Amino acid sequence: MALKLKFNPSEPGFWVSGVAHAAILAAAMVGLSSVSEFPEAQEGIPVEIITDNQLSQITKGEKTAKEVLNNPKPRADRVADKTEERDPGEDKRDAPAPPKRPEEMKVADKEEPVAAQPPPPPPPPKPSQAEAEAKAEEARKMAETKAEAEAIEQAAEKAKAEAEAKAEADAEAKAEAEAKARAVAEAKAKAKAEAEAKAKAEAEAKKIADAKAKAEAEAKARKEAQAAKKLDMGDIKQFLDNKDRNQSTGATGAEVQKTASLGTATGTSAKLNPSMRDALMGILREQIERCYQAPISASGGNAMPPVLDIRLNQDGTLTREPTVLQAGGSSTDRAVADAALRAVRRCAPFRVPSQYAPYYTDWKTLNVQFDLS
Amino acid sequence: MNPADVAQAAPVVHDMSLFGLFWQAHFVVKLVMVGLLAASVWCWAIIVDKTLLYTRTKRAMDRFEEVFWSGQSLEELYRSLQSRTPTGLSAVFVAAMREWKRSFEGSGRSFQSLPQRIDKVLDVTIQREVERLNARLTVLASIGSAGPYIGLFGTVIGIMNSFTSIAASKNTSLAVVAPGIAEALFATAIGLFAAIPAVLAYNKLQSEVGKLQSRLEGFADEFSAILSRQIDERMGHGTHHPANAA
Repeated sequence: MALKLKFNPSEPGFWVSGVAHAAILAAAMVGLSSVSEFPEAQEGIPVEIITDNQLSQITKGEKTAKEVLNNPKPRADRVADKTEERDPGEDKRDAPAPPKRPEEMKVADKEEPVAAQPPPPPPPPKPSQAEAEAKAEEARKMAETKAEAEAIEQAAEKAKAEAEAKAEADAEAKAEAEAKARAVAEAKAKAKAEAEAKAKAEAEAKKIADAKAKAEAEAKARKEAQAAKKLDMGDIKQFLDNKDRNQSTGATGAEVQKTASLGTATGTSAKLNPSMRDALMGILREQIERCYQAPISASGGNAMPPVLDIRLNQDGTLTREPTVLQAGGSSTDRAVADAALRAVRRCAPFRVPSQYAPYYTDWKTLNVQFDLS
Repeated sequence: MNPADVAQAAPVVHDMSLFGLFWQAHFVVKLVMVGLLAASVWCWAIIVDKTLLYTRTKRAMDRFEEVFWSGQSLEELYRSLQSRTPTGLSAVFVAAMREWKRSFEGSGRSFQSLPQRIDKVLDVTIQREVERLNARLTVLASIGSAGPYIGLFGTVIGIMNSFTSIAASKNTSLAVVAPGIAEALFATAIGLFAAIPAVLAYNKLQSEVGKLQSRLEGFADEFSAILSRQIDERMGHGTHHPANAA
């Protein structure tokens, strides 16, 4: 069909349609030009909801393990070959000892400043030597004093003799005087010779003693120098030991555990085994039963047993007031639940045998079905 | 469009407006979109024209029937209608009257087969009128049935093209994949946009044509009955003009 592009009043279809399409297109271009974006997608975070009871019963182990073992522990492949147990209050590690010195070196070092002084009084190396020296000294002194006293005596005697001789000479003959003088001279010479010999001997002894002491001191110094120079392997080892050694023993746990328990790395809960749990429940129920007075309306025995939430301290006292977790809808059920609460409160310090103490985390929170019919 | 070019252009932010969708599309897809848009324009042009034509025709029929049954002389009516090109009922009336008049003009009066001839003329005229009313409705039918397929063809081409681009750019993130697919789907959208009104209008207009046709046929039957009565009267009482037939 040939479209007539001239406007025909009886057939305006083409123009009407064209104009309408143009209008719709224009409107769509304006209206649909803005593209609305999708809202930003939020990523979901997986959340696991656990009860108080479950939290307190988290056991030690690994999250990927299959089951909770009887004795929950994390996996450990190796243990240390030796473990040290120390008394309380002691350091966990030994502090390494400082390097030791040879005994002689210590002494030499101490004495050195003194030895450097001009008059070195060498210490008596041996008590016997010191004694001998002291004896020699004494002997020498004694000899000196003796000689002096003798000399004085001799002088006095000589003066006396002289005076005598003078007087004698005055009174007696000169020959006699001469003889006497000779005798005196002789005596004098003798005394002198004696004194000289004595002094000589003393000097000799002193000289020997000095030389001996000197030689000894020298020998000692030499020995010390040698000791200081000598390489002591023990000392070097100790010096090396002074550095901190690697403290790891390669252990991954306290004891070997080939299968990991289900749990977390930080959980410390010890789990009651079923029979122990049953026994504990029995003990508690028996204690509560003694305090329980059934309401009259519940005598029919068709009341629904309530579930109580009991929180216990380690000594058996209540951490907080017990609450009803679940109870029936009727007034009888509510009465029974209240009576049960009263019974729990009245029996408050529960007697928990000490064997259950390690498992406190397990019975800290108790959800008890209170079936006392 | 070369896939390598598309791959290079991939990081460019896509214009997601209608014009952007059209402009970034593949050549074939563009052609399909333009074709479908033109089809939509044509389709609506036909719808508007036909609706106006049928309204006009119906009003003319009402007016003609009013005049026809008002007791006016058929001769006068024929003379008044002869001046313009008749449509609808008037065309049927004029055709029958012309045949009638021809039978009385000329030397030999041929009454023998006049009713058959009049019937034939009436049939032909009705057929011509219905054909005139029905003209171009087939276009609507074609667009209604083929439009979605053409749009789908554009979509398939577009998606093929965008997958080639994805393969070339070695990037499968949704930001790269989505614009091409949106472009491709745009072709189907235009196809449906053209086809849905076409189908609805075709059904509606077809039923209108049916109604008009039955009305034409009813009038033709009535008119032919009147004329045959006139013929029988003439044959009985000699020659008379069908002056006051009604």
